[in-house]
Amino acid sequence: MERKKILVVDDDKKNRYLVSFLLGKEGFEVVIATNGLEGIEATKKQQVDLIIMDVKMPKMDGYETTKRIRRLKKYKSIPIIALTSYAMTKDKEKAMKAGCTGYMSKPITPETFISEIKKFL
Amino acid sequence: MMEEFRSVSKKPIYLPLLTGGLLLLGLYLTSLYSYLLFHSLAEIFSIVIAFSIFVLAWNCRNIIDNNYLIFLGIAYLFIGFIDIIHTLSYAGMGIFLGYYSNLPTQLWIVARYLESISLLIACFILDKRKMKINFILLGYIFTVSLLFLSIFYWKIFPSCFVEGSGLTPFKKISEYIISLILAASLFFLLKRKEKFNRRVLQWLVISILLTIVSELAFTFYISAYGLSNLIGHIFKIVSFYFIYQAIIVTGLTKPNELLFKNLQESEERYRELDNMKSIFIASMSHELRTPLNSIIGFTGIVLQEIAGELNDEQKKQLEMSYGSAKHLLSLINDLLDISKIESGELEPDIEEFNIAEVGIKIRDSLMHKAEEKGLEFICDIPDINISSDKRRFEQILLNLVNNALKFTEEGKVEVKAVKKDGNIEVIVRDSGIGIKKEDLHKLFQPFAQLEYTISGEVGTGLGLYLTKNLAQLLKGRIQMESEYRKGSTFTFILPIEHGG
Repeated sequence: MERKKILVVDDDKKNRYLVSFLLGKEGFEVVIATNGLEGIEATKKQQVDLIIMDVKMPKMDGYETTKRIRRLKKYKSIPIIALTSYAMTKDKEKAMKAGCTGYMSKPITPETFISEIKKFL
Repeated sequence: MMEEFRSVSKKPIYLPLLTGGLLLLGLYLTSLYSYLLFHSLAEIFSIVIAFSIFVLAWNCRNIIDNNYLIFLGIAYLFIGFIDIIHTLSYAGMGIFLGYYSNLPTQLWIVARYLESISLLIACFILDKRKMKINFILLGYIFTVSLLFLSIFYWKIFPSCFVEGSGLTPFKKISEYIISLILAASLFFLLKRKEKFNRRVLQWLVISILLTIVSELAFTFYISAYGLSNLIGHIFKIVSFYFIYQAIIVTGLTKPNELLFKNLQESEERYRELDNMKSIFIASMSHELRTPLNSIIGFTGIVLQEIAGELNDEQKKQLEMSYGSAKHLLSLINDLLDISKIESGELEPDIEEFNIAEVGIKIRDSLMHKAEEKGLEFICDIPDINISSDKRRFEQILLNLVNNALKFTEEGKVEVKAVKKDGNIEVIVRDSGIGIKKEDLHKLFQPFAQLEYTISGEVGTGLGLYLTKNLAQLLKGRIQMESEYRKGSTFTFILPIEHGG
């Protein structure tokens, strides 16, 4: 079975490492983007199966990045998971409005992270 | 609330103008019937307003930081009193016999001097920081007593009216002097106009102007019953109407606008600070949480042995580290919640859920704590669906049950729920250390700690405070009963239908 590709868009190095480590151990292929623009470039360069989008990023936040990715034909229905802070209702709504498929609140619980991600695939 | 008041002021202006016009016409007609009646009514109007200003100012003297108002209030008490005597002293009243028209005219002059000088002094009192009210009261009592003695007892007060020739030069010149003093008070008032609410200032200015006109009208009259006298009184009535608007109407309907802008300003400043506090806490908590994400995340991964095997000691120490990190996170989240509640930003996320599920979750996550202490832990919540904020509901119960377990050394902790009058009542009963009656009120305040709590059990002091606020957010409340050394019962009551 072909390995699923997951794109991780997050400006925080440690958070990227954390998520990539967990995903890597589970057998996923991980693509990294350190900001919104890199994330959009990455989606153009290859087809990914799921995107984990950090919401709070400088210059272009997760919402804007998601909106732009959604405009690409190939990504109309790819699951995009927003990583929000402390699951504020407003963050949740903003994420959904921008086109995210779901959300997870930071800090992520390592025990349940993988099973949550698998639900979206 | 502001919206309501704005719509009131949009009422057509011709209505009060019409009423006022009719009343003045009515008063004029009474003067044709009986001048004495007209005079009495006209004076009664201004006396009532004078006393109302006093009543308002006196009652607010400790609440409002407003020297101008309080000073004027005291002044008008005495001015009103003198005006009463003036009204009663009119020849036709038959109270002060043997004085004819000189007495009321003298009293009138005394009252107007007092009024104009008070208005002038009031402008300068504005600049002072603290005003000794008793001092001022005594000052007025002393002054008015002296004046009355000079009129009635010593009889040294200059004549103001002589039968046959009319007003004395003293009286006429006094009216001009009074007008000058009033003009001066107007000048100094306008010099300090930034200290006043714009509308209030307008009323005050108009009032003083009309008083000046009224005084000038009184320089003309020949007889105490003539036309000039009538006009003077009418202007006095209208000028008092404007003082009524400036002080009483504003004081009752828009107290924060009352004369002093600094009250408004301190309100605005308070709101600004509160806002800054909320923004600060919100951004700080985000900053604080970021490194915690790493700590919790990586420690969690290592504990799950995904990054390699652990020996028992490593596992033990990492678990303690992980636990501390989680604790720290919950403190930060609590702090953020509280600041959001206080600034009114927290909104409940309403959904339908079953409380039995929450009960099971709480029981499962806290059972080990009870077992560690050898306590009996019963968590029996029935199958009831409610519409509320699931996460906050869980948060509240978690806090209450956690507290119960924390502060109980032996016995049991019992959690039940019942339906009652459209509400759900969740009862958390423990046989713990309890709370003394005198400390009950401290319980729900932030950062209050009680000395007799079990040593080693430390809280932030925020838990119950936050819980109480969350309960209110869900349109519910927390009740508690406790007996020192016997136990406590916390009851969380909330409506089954949040929207209902």
